Amino acid sequence: MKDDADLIRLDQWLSGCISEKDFALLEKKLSESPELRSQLRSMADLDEGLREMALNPEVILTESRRLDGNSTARGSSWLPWAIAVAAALVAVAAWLPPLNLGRFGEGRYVTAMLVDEAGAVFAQPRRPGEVRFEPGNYELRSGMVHLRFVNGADLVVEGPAQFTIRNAFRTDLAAGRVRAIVPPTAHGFTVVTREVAYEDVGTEFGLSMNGETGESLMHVFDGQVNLRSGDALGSLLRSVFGGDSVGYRDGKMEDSPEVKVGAFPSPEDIGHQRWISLRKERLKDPSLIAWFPFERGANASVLVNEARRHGTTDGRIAGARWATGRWPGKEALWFERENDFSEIEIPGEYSELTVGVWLKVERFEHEMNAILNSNGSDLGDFHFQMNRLGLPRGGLLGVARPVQRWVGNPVPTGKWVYVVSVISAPHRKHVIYVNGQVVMESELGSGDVSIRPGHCRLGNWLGEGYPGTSASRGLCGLVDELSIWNRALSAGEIVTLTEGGRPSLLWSRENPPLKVPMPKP
Amino acid sequence: MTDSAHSHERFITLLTAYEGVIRASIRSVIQRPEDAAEIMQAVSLTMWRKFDSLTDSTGFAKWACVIARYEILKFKREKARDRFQFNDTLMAVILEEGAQEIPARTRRMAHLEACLEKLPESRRALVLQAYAQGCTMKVLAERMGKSQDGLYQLLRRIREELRQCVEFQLSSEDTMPETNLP
Repeated sequence: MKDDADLIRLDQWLSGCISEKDFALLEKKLSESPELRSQLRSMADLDEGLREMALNPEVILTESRRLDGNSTARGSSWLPWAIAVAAALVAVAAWLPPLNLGRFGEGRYVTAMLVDEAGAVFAQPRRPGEVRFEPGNYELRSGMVHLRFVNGADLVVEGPAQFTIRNAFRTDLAAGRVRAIVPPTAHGFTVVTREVAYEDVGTEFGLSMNGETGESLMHVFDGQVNLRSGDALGSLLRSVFGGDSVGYRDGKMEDSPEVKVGAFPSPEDIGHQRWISLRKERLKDPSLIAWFPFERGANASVLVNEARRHGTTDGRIAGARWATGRWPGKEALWFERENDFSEIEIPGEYSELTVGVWLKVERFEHEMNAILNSNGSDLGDFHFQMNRLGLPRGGLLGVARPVQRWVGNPVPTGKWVYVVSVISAPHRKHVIYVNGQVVMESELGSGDVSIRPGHCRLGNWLGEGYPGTSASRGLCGLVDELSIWNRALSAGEIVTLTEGGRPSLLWSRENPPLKVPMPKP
Repeated sequence: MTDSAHSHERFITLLTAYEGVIRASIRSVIQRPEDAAEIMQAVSLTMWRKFDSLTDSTGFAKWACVIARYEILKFKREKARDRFQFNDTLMAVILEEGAQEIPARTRRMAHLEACLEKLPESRRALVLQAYAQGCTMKVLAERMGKSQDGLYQLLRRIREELRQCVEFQLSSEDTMPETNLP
């Protein structure tokens, strides 16, 4: 049975002031008493409820009113409570000096979440992995962030910028450039500048605010934006429609000012930006012997190799066409026809080799679907492909694999994935990762293991003279990055590379499992 | 609206509805509020990423509790700085039993505001000040001219008063239908 002493111990534990002796006793009693455990949960509920209410009833009130009349757990009953609390706080102000409650309007209920970011540095430190944005002031010193509000509105902010999230429907922009994308659920989403408010009634606009002069420039990409006075009345000054721009400074409106439309940040810019920012760092690695970023140069039939170490060459594109990669602005090669490929040369002999490829498979057309294969059929040739189920496989020609097994999920269709093949002769291991997770592992047999890739085809195989070579292995899908290292990358490094190249924060490294029994390799 | 936008809207609606209970669930086994907040961050992100795999949204809260349990264990393994943590077995039992009580816990938190209203103004303001972010017992006690222990005892009595009020409200609603949560 619980007694008052038990309740006091529970309260002390939740308050962080329990002694070691009392904690030991409490733990023992909790293990024995379901009633006391229920009591603990009841007190934790209370504690959490109070913590939430103490922060900002006004914000929660605004959220619940705007979001829904009836669907959230917290409804209009907040109104009298909020008024009462406000009155109470005022009433006791005389004897209880006000405390600093932190940033303006701080409340802990989710107002916006971070969808993606690239090099974002905030003046207020944020914890790694912190994705929630609450009402308050933010200073983005550099980089870009993509926020999604609880009503579905997207706001992309490019640093340097200073902004204040008031609630899900209002953000104040003191300085910087933003783009708002507003679905029907968020109609009325407003960005307020020093002088005027821009209210989106659907669907997309860009806004820049000069923090020094107070000038704001707004361009409507699509839909309608109402320009309202910044005072409490919020009078409608003008409606601006898709394709039009407007400026405002010192109480004067300027029609169709010159606006650099392309300068407004977009959600897609972020992932691409992050990838570009990692470029220099990546090229510093001396073990990176070839890196193909898939950026079309002056000669569209050349696949440019930016690393070119150990005699590796540019690629020669045959048939494969240029298309859009992981992000708009990022290019890829689209392999579609039986004979599409890009040929590269990796001369020399290696004891370790890692090949990483970002690809998106459209469909698995063949028994084997090539990623990167040495031409011909010589000892030490490198093979990297997927079977008709999307399970990656490969190895070295002429090297036995006494142990070979699939231990993870296959490459799915229609999703960008990072496939990496790591071969190490000293460790006699060959491992294939998909999105940083091991999918195939094999042990290499005894004897000479030398990796001699030579001429290779990306997205195909030229297998003259080798049994079974008449069958096509053409890849059907997109490739937008190929990296080759002359060492075995660690699992940790592969995860880091995967995260750095992820299409968006919401992109998941996990893939669905195979729906049929796992075949034998 | 696109499928993705629908999915996002549904996720946010469910998260908004159940966030308090999920937080409280974490808090019931994690002593430090700041640790509980960190775990909640991880839970939110994991749920968001995996939301499309949830086929039946009526099971959202229980699903969230499973994810919370996993994140709590992960946190405990990797980062726990607090020596006053329950053992794994007890922790699992508290969370498992808590997951069975979600409707009642949701109502309990909803009753709290009514009970808070019933408090005398000065006590209500005090408890809200005490729970405000950035406030420490030491600072609050100094401002009030009380000892820290004296302030703690006062707050404990207020919490107990609120707890009794909430439990009374819960027991009085036995014939009411369950809240129609999304």
